[in-house]
Amino acid sequence: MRADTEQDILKTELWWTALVTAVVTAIMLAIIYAGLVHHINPPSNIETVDPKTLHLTGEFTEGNLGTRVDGSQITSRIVATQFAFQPQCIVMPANRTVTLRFATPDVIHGILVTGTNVNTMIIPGYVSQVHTVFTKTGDLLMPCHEFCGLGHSQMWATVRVVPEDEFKPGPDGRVTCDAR
Amino acid sequence: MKPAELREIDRPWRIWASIIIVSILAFSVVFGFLILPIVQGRAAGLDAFTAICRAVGILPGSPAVRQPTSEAKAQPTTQVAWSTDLIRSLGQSTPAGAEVAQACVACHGERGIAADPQNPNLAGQSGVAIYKQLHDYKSGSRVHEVMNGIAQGLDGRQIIDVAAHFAASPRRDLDPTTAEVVDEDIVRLVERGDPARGLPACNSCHGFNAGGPMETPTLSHQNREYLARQLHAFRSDGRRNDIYTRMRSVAAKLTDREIDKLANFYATTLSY
Amino acid sequence: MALAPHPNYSAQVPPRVDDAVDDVALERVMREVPSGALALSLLTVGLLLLAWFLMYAFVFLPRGMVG
Repeated sequence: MRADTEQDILKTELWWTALVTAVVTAIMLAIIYAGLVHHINPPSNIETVDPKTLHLTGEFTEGNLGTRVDGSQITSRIVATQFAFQPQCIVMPANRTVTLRFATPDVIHGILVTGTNVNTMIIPGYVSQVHTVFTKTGDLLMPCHEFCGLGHSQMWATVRVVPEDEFKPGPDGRVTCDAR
Repeated sequence: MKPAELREIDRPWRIWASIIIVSILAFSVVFGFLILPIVQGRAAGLDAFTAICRAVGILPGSPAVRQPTSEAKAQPTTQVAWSTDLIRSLGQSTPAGAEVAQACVACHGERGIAADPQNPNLAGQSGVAIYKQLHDYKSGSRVHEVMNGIAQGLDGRQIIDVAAHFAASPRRDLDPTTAEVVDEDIVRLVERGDPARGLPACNSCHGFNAGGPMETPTLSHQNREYLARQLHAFRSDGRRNDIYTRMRSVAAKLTDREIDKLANFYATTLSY
Repeated sequence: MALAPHPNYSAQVPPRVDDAVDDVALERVMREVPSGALALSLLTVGLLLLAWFLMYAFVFLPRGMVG
């Protein structure tokens, strides 16, 4: 091979490196923009909980699950267990910042809410937490998206997003799908 | 070229590559652990230090919104918590278990096989399941006019012994003359479930060596009247000691016909 | 499984024949081939990047805050 051809190849390689670097930089800048301006970033919450006693103590006991309004904060607590979510339907108001808190007593599960950016893993021993604002009203599907066993494909729940004026918590601050 | 010369040519590349990698890492740390949490935390009314601690993982919560306060007032449905020691001892059958089991003979049969089909067979049942139910009878999580009194008379060790005893007993034989041709939709419910209703397959928990909660009982070789009665009780909320409504939510979606057919299928036909 | 013995490729290489392509023409073609490859890769990477930005701008951002 002649020397000038080798030089050409080197030049092409350098150009291509520059181009790929530019592409990666552009994507990174877009992600940084989303994080800074729109507050969109991967849900992160390092909070431990004992999966063996999840049903006995603390906030994930059965009667404590579901949507609850506490002052200005709207929080829904959901347990993902083989092979169902409890509760299987949660009510959320549209256009308000809401917090979803998940825990599991058994194996790794995962959730996503269709048509939204809500997407997280649910790992035994940790509380997964997502803050979001639902803009579309209606029943949104929330399937388990992490294979959790033989009943995985039948494991799904509903997120019922209602207009803000129809979101009326009971005297104890709770909102359930049954009451509506 | 000699290796020394090659190294000389490589040197500026190595230096620059190292500088680039280190500066990308430094930028990521500064941006992810300092700038982003401070900017997001300001919008949520969090001070910079709290926001940074959350981003690093020292404090719970993401910096974007305030952490909800957790309150715990609810009553659990059962008091049972599993541990490896407990499960290990449930696998060891002892003579003490056979002695305690004498109290069960009247209703559950001499060998743990009940004469009255309203009562469950215990022979060959999972020891973990028997322990859970006795524990729940004792604590009052599951209600039965006879069993609550009996369970309250047992101490924790006796419950473990009797559960291990029945788990090690041989099961009832299936009578081939009672096996029936089962409807296709019932077999589908047992093996595949019904995704449209959010019904997991029965066998995804109750199947042989299936996954699912460890307290799941074995259903095959059980009495059909007992199985049907329990499904009805779960559906009507009369029985509520299943953790996280696992069985209540399933039974609530079943029809009367499905309950009868499923009970029959497990009692007479399915064997594993 | 035992490895097959290495085939003797030299036996399979056809004897060299002088074809009509002279060295100058070959050199010219070798110069043009990379620019075609470059155009193709620019197009594919460009389309990928475009798809990414369309998803980002019209699906991801409108779905709003999460964190």
